[in-house]
Amino acid sequence: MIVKLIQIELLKTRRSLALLMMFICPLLVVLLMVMLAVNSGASAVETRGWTALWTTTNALWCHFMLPLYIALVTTLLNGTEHHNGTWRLMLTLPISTWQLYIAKAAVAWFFIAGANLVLFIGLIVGIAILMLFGYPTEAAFNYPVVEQIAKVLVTCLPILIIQQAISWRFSHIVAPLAVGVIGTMGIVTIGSSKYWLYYPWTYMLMSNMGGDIANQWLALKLGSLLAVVLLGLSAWGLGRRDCPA
Amino acid sequence: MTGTNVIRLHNVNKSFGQQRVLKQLNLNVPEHSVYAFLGNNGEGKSTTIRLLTGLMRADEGQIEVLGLDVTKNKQKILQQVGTIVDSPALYPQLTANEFLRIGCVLKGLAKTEIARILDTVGLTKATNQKIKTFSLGMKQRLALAHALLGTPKLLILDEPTNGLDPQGMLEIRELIKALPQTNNCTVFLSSHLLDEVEKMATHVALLKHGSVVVESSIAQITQNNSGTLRLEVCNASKAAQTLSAMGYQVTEHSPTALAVNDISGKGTDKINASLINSGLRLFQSVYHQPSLEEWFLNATNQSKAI
Repeated sequence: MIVKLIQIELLKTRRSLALLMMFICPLLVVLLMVMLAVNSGASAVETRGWTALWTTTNALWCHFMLPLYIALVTTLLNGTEHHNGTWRLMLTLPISTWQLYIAKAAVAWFFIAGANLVLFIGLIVGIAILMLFGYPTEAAFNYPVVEQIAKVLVTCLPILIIQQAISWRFSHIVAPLAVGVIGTMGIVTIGSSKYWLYYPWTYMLMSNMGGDIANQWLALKLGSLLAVVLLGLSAWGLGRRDCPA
Repeated sequence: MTGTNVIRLHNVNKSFGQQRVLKQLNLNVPEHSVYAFLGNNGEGKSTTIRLLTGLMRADEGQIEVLGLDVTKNKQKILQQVGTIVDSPALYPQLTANEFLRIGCVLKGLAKTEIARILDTVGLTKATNQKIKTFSLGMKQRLALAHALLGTPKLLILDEPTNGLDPQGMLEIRELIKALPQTNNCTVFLSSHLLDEVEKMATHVALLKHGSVVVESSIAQITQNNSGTLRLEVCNASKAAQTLSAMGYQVTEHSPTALAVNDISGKGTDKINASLINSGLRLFQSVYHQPSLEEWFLNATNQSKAI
Protein backbone atom coordinates (compact mmCIF):
# COMPACT_ATOMS: atom_id res chain seq x y z
CA MET A 1 0.00 0.00 0.00
CA ILE A 2 2.88 2.39 0.80
CA VAL A 3 4.20 2.00 -2.78
CA LYS A 4 0.74 2.75 -4.22
CA LEU A 5 0.44 5.75 -1.92
CA ILE A 6 3.85 7.06 -3.01
CA GLN A 7 2.70 6.75 -6.65
CA ILE A 8 -0.42 8.73 -5.79
CA GLU A 9 1.51 11.35 -3.85
CA LEU A 10 3.84 11.77 -6.84
CA LEU A 11 0.81 12.06 -9.14
CA LYS A 12 -0.54 14.85 -6.94
CA THR A 13 2.65 16.87 -7.40
CA ARG A 14 2.03 17.23 -11.16
CA ARG A 15 1.98 20.91 -12.15
CA SER A 16 2.56 21.81 -8.49
CA LEU A 17 4.66 24.53 -6.92
CA ALA A 18 6.56 21.86 -4.97
CA LEU A 19 7.83 20.41 -8.25
CA LEU A 20 8.80 23.83 -9.59
CA MET A 21 10.70 24.67 -6.41
CA MET A 22 12.74 21.47 -6.75
CA PHE A 23 14.39 23.16 -9.74
CA ILE A 24 14.32 26.79 -8.67
CA CYS A 25 15.97 26.47 -5.21
CA PRO A 26 19.14 24.60 -6.29
CA LEU A 27 19.44 26.54 -9.54
CA LEU A 28 19.42 29.80 -7.58
CA VAL A 29 22.46 28.57 -5.66
CA VAL A 30 24.17 27.47 -8.89
CA LEU A 31 23.42 30.81 -10.53
CA LEU A 32 24.84 32.71 -7.56
CA MET A 33 28.02 30.61 -7.46
CA VAL A 34 28.60 30.81 -11.21
CA MET A 35 28.11 34.58 -11.08
CA LEU A 36 30.65 34.81 -8.23
CA ALA A 37 33.09 32.75 -10.33
CA VAL A 38 32.54 35.11 -13.27
CA ASN A 39 33.08 38.08 -10.98
CA SER A 40 36.35 36.62 -9.61
CA GLY A 41 37.60 35.81 -13.09
CA ALA A 42 39.39 32.80 -14.56
CA SER A 43 42.65 33.64 -12.78
CA ALA A 44 41.03 33.22 -9.35
CA VAL A 45 39.82 29.75 -10.32
CA GLU A 46 43.32 28.98 -11.62
CA THR A 47 44.82 29.96 -8.26
CA ARG A 48 42.31 28.29 -5.95
CA GLY A 49 41.17 25.44 -8.19
CA TRP A 50 37.64 24.29 -8.90
CA THR A 51 37.40 22.50 -5.55
CA ALA A 52 36.85 25.87 -3.87
CA LEU A 53 33.76 26.46 -6.03
CA TRP A 54 32.41 22.98 -5.34
CA THR A 55 33.00 23.29 -1.58
CA THR A 56 31.51 26.78 -1.33
CA THR A 57 28.46 25.71 -3.30
CA ASN A 58 27.98 22.69 -1.07
CA ALA A 59 28.42 24.83 2.05
CA LEU A 60 25.88 27.41 0.90
CA TRP A 61 23.49 24.59 0.00
CA CYS A 62 23.79 22.76 3.34
CA HIS A 63 24.06 25.92 5.47
CA PHE A 64 21.22 27.83 4.01
CA MET A 65 19.18 26.74 0.99
CA LEU A 66 18.65 23.02 1.68
CA PRO A 67 17.23 23.40 5.22
CA LEU A 68 14.91 26.11 3.92
CA TYR A 69 14.00 23.97 0.92
CA ILE A 70 13.13 21.05 3.22
CA ALA A 71 10.79 23.33 5.19
CA LEU A 72 9.27 24.60 1.95
CA VAL A 73 8.75 21.26 0.26
CA THR A 74 7.11 19.62 3.29
CA THR A 75 4.91 22.71 3.75
CA LEU A 76 3.82 22.59 0.12
CA LEU A 77 3.19 18.84 0.03
CA ASN A 78 1.04 18.92 3.17
CA GLY A 79 -0.32 22.40 2.47
CA THR A 80 -2.12 21.21 -0.65
CA GLU A 81 -4.20 18.87 1.55
CA HIS A 82 -4.90 21.59 4.14
CA HIS A 83 -5.73 24.16 1.46
CA ASN A 84 -8.06 21.96 -0.61
CA GLY A 85 -9.57 20.09 2.34
CA THR A 86 -8.38 16.86 0.76
CA TRP A 87 -7.34 15.22 4.03
CA ARG A 88 -10.96 14.08 4.26
CA LEU A 89 -10.77 12.66 0.74
CA MET A 90 -7.53 10.76 1.35
CA LEU A 91 -8.42 9.57 4.84
CA THR A 92 -11.78 8.19 3.74
CA LEU A 93 -10.01 5.89 1.29
CA PRO A 94 -8.95 2.42 2.50
CA ILE A 95 -5.57 3.51 3.86
CA SER A 96 -4.10 4.13 7.31
CA THR A 97 -3.18 7.59 8.50
CA TRP A 98 0.37 6.48 9.28
CA GLN A 99 0.75 5.05 5.75
CA LEU A 100 -0.20 8.40 4.23
CA TYR A 101 2.17 10.16 6.63
CA ILE A 102 5.09 7.95 5.65
CA ALA A 103 4.25 8.20 1.92
CA LYS A 104 4.29 11.99 2.16
CA ALA A 105 7.63 11.93 3.99
CA ALA A 106 9.02 9.59 1.30
CA VAL A 107 7.90 11.90 -1.50
CA ALA A 108 9.46 14.88 0.28
CA TRP A 109 12.67 12.84 0.51
CA PHE A 110 12.53 12.11 -3.25
CA PHE A 111 12.15 15.82 -3.88
CA ILE A 112 15.19 16.53 -1.70
CA ALA A 113 17.16 13.93 -3.67
CA GLY A 114 15.93 15.57 -6.88
CA ALA A 115 16.97 19.03 -5.67
CA ASN A 116 20.46 17.71 -4.81
CA LEU A 117 20.76 16.21 -8.28
CA VAL A 118 19.62 19.46 -9.88
CA LEU A 119 22.21 21.33 -7.79
CA PHE A 120 25.14 19.20 -8.86
CA ILE A 121 24.02 18.77 -12.48
CA GLY A 122 23.45 22.53 -12.62
CA LEU A 123 26.92 23.16 -11.25
CA ILE A 124 28.49 20.76 -13.74
CA VAL A 125 26.71 22.56 -16.58
CA GLY A 126 27.74 25.95 -15.11
CA ILE A 127 31.40 24.92 -14.89
CA ALA A 128 31.26 23.48 -18.43
CA ILE A 129 29.91 26.81 -19.73
CA LEU A 130 32.67 28.71 -17.88
CA MET A 131 35.26 26.39 -19.43
CA LEU A 132 33.94 27.34 -22.86
CA PHE A 133 34.81 30.93 -21.97
CA GLY A 134 38.44 30.19 -21.19
CA TYR A 135 38.26 29.04 -17.58
CA PRO A 136 40.77 26.34 -16.56
CA THR A 137 39.79 22.77 -17.41
CA GLU A 138 42.09 21.00 -14.97
CA ALA A 139 40.36 18.90 -12.25
CA ALA A 140 37.10 20.69 -12.89
CA PHE A 141 34.89 17.75 -11.97
CA ASN A 142 37.12 16.14 -9.37
CA TYR A 143 34.60 16.28 -6.54
CA PRO A 144 32.87 13.36 -4.70
CA VAL A 145 29.35 14.33 -5.78
CA VAL A 146 27.71 10.95 -5.19
CA GLU A 147 29.22 10.67 -1.70
CA GLN A 148 28.06 14.17 -0.80
CA ILE A 149 24.52 13.53 -2.00
CA ALA A 150 24.38 10.20 -0.15
CA LYS A 151 25.49 11.83 3.11
CA VAL A 152 23.00 14.67 2.75
CA LEU A 153 20.15 12.26 2.03
CA VAL A 154 20.82 10.45 5.31
CA THR A 155 21.51 13.45 7.52
CA CYS A 156 18.56 15.49 6.22
CA LEU A 157 16.13 12.88 7.53
CA PRO A 158 15.66 14.18 11.13
CA ILE A 159 14.75 17.70 10.02
CA LEU A 160 12.68 16.32 7.17
CA ILE A 161 10.60 14.39 9.70
CA ILE A 162 10.36 17.35 12.10
CA GLN A 163 9.17 19.58 9.26
CA GLN A 164 6.83 16.88 7.93
CA ALA A 165 5.20 16.43 11.36
CA ILE A 166 4.70 20.18 11.83
CA SER A 167 3.38 20.69 8.28
CA TRP A 168 0.94 17.80 8.76
CA ARG A 169 -0.25 19.02 12.13
CA PHE A 170 -0.66 22.75 11.40
CA SER A 171 -2.85 23.96 8.55
CA HIS A 172 -1.20 27.39 8.44
CA ILE A 173 2.09 27.66 6.58
CA VAL A 174 3.59 30.00 9.17
CA ALA A 175 4.34 27.29 11.75
CA PRO A 176 6.46 24.96 9.55
CA LEU A 177 8.17 27.81 7.71
CA ALA A 178 9.02 29.60 10.97
CA VAL A 179 10.55 26.41 12.37
CA GLY A 180 12.52 26.01 9.13
CA VAL A 181 13.85 29.59 9.19
CA ILE A 182 14.72 29.50 12.91
CA GLY A 183 16.37 26.10 12.51
CA THR A 184 18.43 27.37 9.57
CA MET A 185 19.49 30.50 11.41
CA GLY A 186 21.07 28.45 14.19
CA ILE A 187 23.23 26.31 11.91
CA VAL A 188 26.23 28.67 11.72
CA THR A 189 26.42 29.41 15.46
CA ILE A 190 25.59 25.97 16.83
CA GLY A 191 27.41 24.13 14.02
CA SER A 192 30.72 25.66 15.13
CA SER A 193 30.18 24.78 18.80
CA LYS A 194 30.42 21.50 20.70
CA TYR A 195 26.61 21.45 20.98
CA TRP A 196 26.03 20.66 17.29
CA LEU A 197 25.13 17.10 18.32
CA TYR A 198 21.87 18.35 19.80
CA TYR A 199 20.88 20.37 16.76
CA PRO A 200 19.74 18.19 13.81
CA TRP A 201 19.92 21.12 11.38
CA THR A 202 23.74 20.93 11.58
CA TYR A 203 24.00 17.25 10.63
CA MET A 204 23.99 17.83 6.85
CA LEU A 205 26.83 20.31 7.14
CA MET A 206 28.78 18.23 9.65
CA SER A 207 28.56 15.06 7.55
CA ASN A 208 30.07 16.93 4.60
CA MET A 209 32.42 19.40 6.20
CA GLY A 210 32.57 18.41 9.84
CA GLY A 211 36.35 18.53 10.01
CA ASP A 212 37.55 15.11 11.08
CA ILE A 213 36.13 11.83 9.84
CA ALA A 214 34.85 10.92 13.33
CA ASN A 215 32.53 13.93 13.37
CA GLN A 216 31.27 13.15 9.88
CA TRP A 217 30.46 9.58 10.91
CA LEU A 218 28.86 10.78 14.13
CA ALA A 219 26.59 13.10 12.16
CA LEU A 220 25.60 10.22 9.89
CA LYS A 221 24.91 7.87 12.81
CA LEU A 222 22.99 10.48 14.79
CA GLY A 223 21.01 11.46 11.71
CA SER A 224 19.88 7.91 10.96
CA LEU A 225 19.13 7.03 14.57
CA LEU A 226 17.18 10.20 15.27
CA ALA A 227 15.27 9.79 12.00
CA VAL A 228 14.07 6.32 12.96
CA VAL A 229 12.99 7.48 16.43
CA LEU A 230 11.27 10.64 15.17
CA LEU A 231 9.51 8.83 12.33
CA GLY A 232 8.17 6.15 14.66
CA LEU A 233 7.00 8.64 17.28
CA SER A 234 5.44 11.12 14.87
CA ALA A 235 3.68 8.47 12.74
CA TRP A 236 2.27 6.89 15.89
CA GLY A 237 1.24 10.20 17.48
CA LEU A 238 -0.30 11.79 14.40
CA GLY A 239 -1.97 8.54 13.37
CA ARG A 240 -3.90 8.57 16.65
CA ARG A 241 -5.25 12.07 16.09
CA ASP A 242 -8.49 12.93 14.30
CA CYS A 243 -8.32 14.03 10.66
CA PRO A 244 -6.19 17.21 10.36
CA ALA A 245 -8.94 19.10 8.44
CA MET B 1 -24.90 -6.96 10.03
CA THR B 2 -27.51 -6.09 12.67
CA GLY B 3 -30.82 -7.05 11.03
CA THR B 4 -30.85 -5.19 7.74
CA ASN B 5 -29.23 -2.04 9.07
CA VAL B 6 -26.22 -0.85 7.10
CA ILE B 7 -25.38 1.81 9.67
CA ARG B 8 -26.02 1.48 13.38
CA LEU B 9 -25.09 4.06 15.98
CA HIS B 10 -25.78 3.21 19.60
CA ASN B 11 -25.54 5.81 22.38
CA VAL B 12 -22.76 7.74 20.67
CA ASN B 13 -21.27 10.73 22.46
CA LYS B 14 -18.77 13.23 21.08
CA SER B 15 -17.46 16.41 22.66
CA PHE B 16 -15.05 19.11 21.56
CA GLY B 17 -13.55 20.42 24.78
CA GLN B 18 -16.45 21.41 26.99
CA GLN B 19 -18.93 21.45 24.12
CA ARG B 20 -20.93 18.25 23.81
CA VAL B 21 -21.87 17.89 20.15
CA LEU B 22 -23.49 14.46 20.08
CA LYS B 23 -25.53 13.16 23.00
CA GLN B 24 -26.55 9.52 23.17
CA LEU B 25 -27.03 9.46 19.41
CA ASN B 26 -28.88 6.43 18.04
CA LEU B 27 -29.33 5.79 14.35
CA ASN B 28 -30.41 2.83 12.24
CA VAL B 29 -30.06 3.03 8.48
CA PRO B 30 -31.88 0.25 6.61
CA GLU B 31 -30.26 -1.50 3.68
CA HIS B 32 -31.11 -0.20 0.18
CA SER B 33 -32.62 3.01 1.53
CA VAL B 34 -31.91 6.61 0.62
CA TYR B 35 -31.57 7.91 4.14
CA ALA B 36 -31.62 11.67 4.67
CA PHE B 37 -30.01 13.10 7.76
CA LEU B 38 -31.58 16.45 8.54
CA GLY B 39 -30.82 19.16 11.03
CA ASN B 40 -29.94 22.81 11.32
CA ASN B 41 -26.36 24.03 11.13
CA GLY B 42 -24.28 23.11 14.15
CA GLU B 43 -26.54 20.25 15.24
CA GLY B 44 -23.84 17.61 14.64
CA LYS B 45 -24.55 16.30 11.13
CA SER B 46 -20.99 16.71 9.84
CA THR B 47 -19.57 15.31 13.10
CA THR B 48 -21.76 12.23 12.67
CA ILE B 49 -20.54 11.80 9.08
CA ARG B 50 -16.92 12.16 10.24
CA LEU B 51 -17.51 9.48 12.87
CA LEU B 52 -19.06 7.15 10.27
CA THR B 53 -16.11 7.59 7.92
CA GLY B 54 -13.50 7.17 10.65
CA LEU B 55 -12.20 10.73 10.35
CA MET B 56 -12.99 11.16 14.05
CA ARG B 57 -13.32 8.86 17.00
CA ALA B 58 -16.37 8.83 19.26
CA ASP B 59 -15.85 9.46 22.97
CA GLU B 60 -18.39 6.79 23.85
CA GLY B 61 -20.84 4.49 22.12
CA GLN B 62 -20.87 1.96 19.34
CA ILE B 63 -20.65 2.70 15.62
CA GLU B 64 -21.23 -0.09 13.12
CA VAL B 65 -21.01 0.35 9.37
CA LEU B 66 -21.79 -2.62 7.10
CA GLY B 67 -21.93 -4.73 10.24
CA LEU B 68 -18.38 -3.88 11.31
CA ASP B 69 -17.06 -1.72 14.14
CA VAL B 70 -15.63 1.48 12.61
CA THR B 71 -12.75 1.84 15.05
CA LYS B 72 -11.49 -1.71 14.46
CA ASN B 73 -12.25 -2.20 10.75
CA LYS B 74 -11.85 1.25 9.22
CA GLN B 75 -9.95 0.17 6.10
CA LYS B 76 -12.18 -2.82 5.41
CA ILE B 77 -15.27 -0.62 5.67
CA LEU B 78 -13.86 2.20 3.54
CA GLN B 79 -13.05 -0.29 0.76
CA GLN B 80 -16.83 -0.67 0.33
CA VAL B 81 -17.93 2.90 1.06
CA GLY B 82 -17.95 6.00 -1.14
CA THR B 83 -17.94 9.38 0.57
CA ILE B 84 -18.27 13.11 0.10
CA VAL B 85 -17.52 14.82 3.40
CA ASP B 86 -18.34 18.55 3.57
CA SER B 87 -17.69 20.33 0.26
CA PRO B 88 -16.06 18.49 -2.67
CA ALA B 89 -12.38 17.96 -1.82
CA LEU B 90 -10.38 18.03 -5.07
CA TYR B 91 -6.87 18.78 -6.36
CA PRO B 92 -7.32 21.76 -8.71
CA GLN B 93 -4.09 21.23 -10.68
CA LEU B 94 -5.04 17.67 -11.68
CA THR B 95 -7.32 16.62 -14.53
CA ALA B 96 -10.53 14.68 -13.86
CA ASN B 97 -8.85 11.50 -15.08
CA GLU B 98 -5.79 11.99 -12.84
CA PHE B 99 -8.03 12.75 -9.87
CA LEU B 100 -10.10 9.60 -10.27
CA ARG B 101 -6.91 7.57 -10.61
CA ILE B 102 -6.30 8.28 -6.89
CA GLY B 103 -9.38 6.32 -5.83
CA CYS B 104 -8.84 3.69 -8.52
CA VAL B 105 -5.26 2.91 -7.44
CA LEU B 106 -5.99 2.94 -3.71
CA LYS B 107 -9.13 0.81 -4.05
CA GLY B 108 -7.35 -1.57 -6.44
CA LEU B 109 -9.73 -0.96 -9.37
CA ALA B 110 -9.10 -1.22 -13.11
CA LYS B 111 -8.39 2.01 -15.01
CA THR B 112 -11.44 1.34 -17.22
CA GLU B 113 -13.57 2.19 -14.20
CA ILE B 114 -12.64 5.87 -14.69
CA ALA B 115 -14.29 6.12 -18.13
CA ARG B 116 -17.40 4.29 -16.89
CA ILE B 117 -17.84 6.52 -13.86
CA LEU B 118 -17.21 9.75 -15.80
CA ASP B 119 -19.91 8.66 -18.21
CA THR B 120 -22.28 7.96 -15.30
CA VAL B 121 -21.95 11.53 -13.96
CA GLY B 122 -21.85 13.13 -17.42
CA LEU B 123 -18.25 14.34 -17.36
CA THR B 124 -16.80 12.28 -20.24
CA LYS B 125 -15.97 15.43 -22.22
CA ALA B 126 -14.03 16.87 -19.27
CA THR B 127 -11.78 13.80 -18.81
CA ASN B 128 -8.56 15.66 -19.56
CA GLN B 129 -9.67 19.05 -18.32
CA LYS B 130 -7.99 20.54 -15.25
CA ILE B 131 -10.25 20.65 -12.22
CA LYS B 132 -9.44 24.32 -11.57
CA THR B 133 -11.39 25.18 -14.74
CA PHE B 134 -14.49 23.28 -13.54
CA SER B 135 -17.72 24.97 -12.45
CA LEU B 136 -19.02 24.22 -8.94
CA GLY B 137 -21.56 21.82 -10.41
CA MET B 138 -18.87 19.93 -12.32
CA LYS B 139 -16.78 19.71 -9.15
CA GLN B 140 -19.76 18.28 -7.30
CA ARG B 141 -20.26 15.68 -10.04
CA LEU B 142 -16.58 14.77 -9.99
CA ALA B 143 -16.65 14.32 -6.21
CA LEU B 144 -19.71 12.10 -6.66
CA ALA B 145 -17.88 10.17 -9.38
CA HIS B 146 -15.02 9.57 -6.94
CA ALA B 147 -17.47 8.36 -4.31
CA LEU B 148 -19.09 5.99 -6.84
CA LEU B 149 -15.80 4.35 -7.86
CA GLY B 150 -15.87 0.58 -7.46
CA THR B 151 -19.65 0.30 -6.97
CA PRO B 152 -19.67 0.84 -3.18
CA LYS B 153 -22.22 -0.85 -0.92
CA LEU B 154 -22.77 2.38 0.97
CA LEU B 155 -22.57 6.02 -0.10
CA ILE B 156 -22.15 8.69 2.55
CA LEU B 157 -22.84 12.07 0.99
CA ASP B 158 -22.74 15.46 2.64
CA GLU B 159 -24.94 17.92 0.74
CA PRO B 160 -24.61 16.12 -2.62
CA THR B 161 -26.68 18.58 -4.66
CA ASN B 162 -25.14 21.70 -3.14
CA GLY B 163 -24.15 24.27 -5.75
CA LEU B 164 -25.82 22.52 -8.67
CA ASP B 165 -28.10 24.28 -11.14
CA PRO B 166 -31.72 23.00 -11.39
CA GLN B 167 -30.86 20.67 -14.29
CA GLY B 168 -27.80 19.35 -12.44
CA MET B 169 -29.86 18.88 -9.28
CA LEU B 170 -32.43 16.89 -11.20
CA GLU B 171 -29.78 14.65 -12.79
CA ILE B 172 -27.93 13.98 -9.53
CA ARG B 173 -31.21 13.44 -7.69
CA GLU B 174 -32.36 10.89 -10.24
CA LEU B 175 -28.93 9.21 -10.09
CA ILE B 176 -29.01 8.98 -6.27
CA LYS B 177 -32.62 7.83 -6.28
CA ALA B 178 -31.79 5.01 -8.67
CA LEU B 179 -28.62 3.86 -6.87
CA PRO B 180 -30.25 1.39 -4.47
CA GLN B 181 -31.67 -0.47 -7.49
CA THR B 182 -28.89 0.01 -10.07
CA ASN B 183 -25.88 -0.38 -7.75
CA ASN B 184 -27.51 -2.41 -4.99
CA CYS B 185 -26.30 0.14 -2.46
CA THR B 186 -27.55 2.27 0.41
CA VAL B 187 -27.29 6.07 0.38
CA PHE B 188 -26.84 8.08 3.56
CA LEU B 189 -27.00 11.80 2.86
CA SER B 190 -27.23 15.03 4.74
CA SER B 191 -28.91 18.01 3.16
CA HIS B 192 -30.47 21.37 3.85
CA LEU B 193 -32.54 21.21 0.68
CA LEU B 194 -35.69 19.65 2.10
CA ASP B 195 -37.51 19.82 -1.20
CA GLU B 196 -34.72 17.73 -2.75
CA VAL B 197 -34.72 15.29 0.16
CA GLU B 198 -38.47 14.82 -0.16
CA LYS B 199 -38.02 13.87 -3.81
CA MET B 200 -35.26 11.32 -3.33
CA ALA B 201 -35.20 9.98 0.24
CA THR B 202 -37.01 6.92 1.50
CA HIS B 203 -36.13 7.55 5.16
CA VAL B 204 -35.29 10.59 7.28
CA ALA B 205 -33.78 11.32 10.66
CA LEU B 206 -33.96 14.68 12.34
CA LEU B 207 -31.04 15.73 14.49
CA LYS B 208 -31.59 18.29 17.21
CA HIS B 209 -29.07 19.32 19.87
CA GLY B 210 -26.92 16.28 19.08
CA SER B 211 -29.67 13.67 19.34
CA VAL B 212 -32.08 12.15 16.84
CA VAL B 213 -35.55 13.42 17.70
CA VAL B 214 -37.39 11.74 14.82
CA GLU B 215 -36.36 8.75 12.71
CA SER B 216 -38.90 7.47 10.22
CA SER B 217 -39.65 6.49 6.65
CA ILE B 218 -40.99 9.18 4.34
CA ALA B 219 -44.08 7.01 3.73
CA GLN B 220 -44.81 6.91 7.44
CA ILE B 221 -44.39 10.67 7.80
CA THR B 222 -46.77 11.25 4.92
CA GLN B 223 -49.25 8.82 6.42
CA ASN B 224 -49.06 10.29 9.91
CA ASN B 225 -48.90 13.89 8.83
CA SER B 226 -52.39 15.32 8.88
CA GLY B 227 -53.25 18.08 6.42
CA THR B 228 -55.86 20.73 5.83
CA LEU B 229 -58.91 20.62 3.55
CA ARG B 230 -59.86 24.04 2.17
CA LEU B 231 -63.48 24.32 1.11
CA GLU B 232 -65.55 26.86 -0.76
CA VAL B 233 -69.29 26.45 -0.23
CA CYS B 234 -72.47 28.52 -0.56
CA ASN B 235 -72.86 28.81 3.24
CA ALA B 236 -69.73 28.43 5.35
CA SER B 237 -71.41 28.63 8.77
CA LYS B 238 -73.89 25.85 7.91
CA ALA B 239 -71.04 23.74 6.57
CA ALA B 240 -69.04 24.40 9.74
CA GLN B 241 -71.97 23.28 11.89
CA THR B 242 -72.38 20.08 9.88
CA LEU B 243 -68.70 19.20 10.05
CA SER B 244 -68.30 20.14 13.73
CA ALA B 245 -71.19 17.81 14.52
CA MET B 246 -69.22 15.08 12.78
CA GLY B 247 -66.25 15.80 15.08
CA TYR B 248 -63.95 17.71 12.70
CA GLN B 249 -61.89 20.77 13.67
CA VAL B 250 -63.20 23.59 11.50
CA THR B 251 -62.05 27.18 10.96
CA GLU B 252 -64.27 29.68 9.16
CA HIS B 253 -62.42 32.16 6.99
CA SER B 254 -65.28 33.99 5.21
CA PRO B 255 -69.04 33.51 4.60
CA THR B 256 -68.14 31.07 1.82
CA ALA B 257 -64.72 29.69 2.82
CA LEU B 258 -63.67 27.35 5.61
CA ALA B 259 -60.90 24.90 6.44
CA VAL B 260 -60.99 21.48 8.02
CA ASN B 261 -57.79 20.87 10.01
CA ASP B 262 -55.89 17.76 11.08
CA ILE B 263 -57.33 15.28 8.62
CA SER B 264 -55.72 12.69 6.40
CA GLY B 265 -56.03 12.81 2.62
CA LYS B 266 -58.28 9.74 2.71
CA GLY B 267 -61.00 11.58 4.69
CA THR B 268 -61.73 14.20 2.08
CA ASP B 269 -64.27 12.16 0.08
CA LYS B 270 -66.37 11.57 3.18
CA ILE B 271 -66.44 15.31 4.01
CA ASN B 272 -67.34 16.34 0.46
CA ALA B 273 -70.16 13.79 0.34
CA SER B 274 -71.53 14.91 3.75
CA LEU B 275 -71.68 18.54 2.66
CA ILE B 276 -73.50 17.72 -0.58
CA ASN B 277 -75.91 15.38 1.22
CA SER B 278 -76.78 18.15 3.68
CA GLY B 279 -77.95 20.32 0.74
CA LEU B 280 -74.92 22.62 0.50
CA ARG B 281 -73.40 23.58 -2.82
CA LEU B 282 -69.68 22.75 -2.92
CA PHE B 283 -67.63 25.00 -5.25
CA GLN B 284 -64.09 23.89 -4.39
CA SER B 285 -62.37 21.30 -2.23
CA VAL B 286 -58.57 21.35 -2.02
CA TYR B 287 -56.51 19.10 0.24
CA HIS B 288 -53.11 20.43 1.37
CA GLN B 289 -50.57 17.84 2.53
CA PRO B 290 -47.76 19.46 4.60
CA SER B 291 -44.37 19.30 2.85
CA LEU B 292 -41.26 17.84 4.44
CA GLU B 293 -40.13 21.41 5.06
CA GLU B 294 -43.29 22.10 7.08
CA TRP B 295 -42.85 18.80 8.91
CA PHE B 296 -39.22 19.69 9.60
CA LEU B 297 -40.07 23.15 10.93
CA ASN B 298 -42.87 21.71 13.02
CA ALA B 299 -40.65 18.94 14.39
CA THR B 300 -37.73 21.28 15.19
CA ASN B 301 -40.08 23.72 16.96
CA GLN B 302 -41.72 20.94 18.94
CA SER B 303 -38.38 19.55 20.01
CA LYS B 304 -37.43 22.90 21.55
CA ALA B 305 -39.80 21.96 24.31
CA ILE B 306 -38.14 18.55 24.79
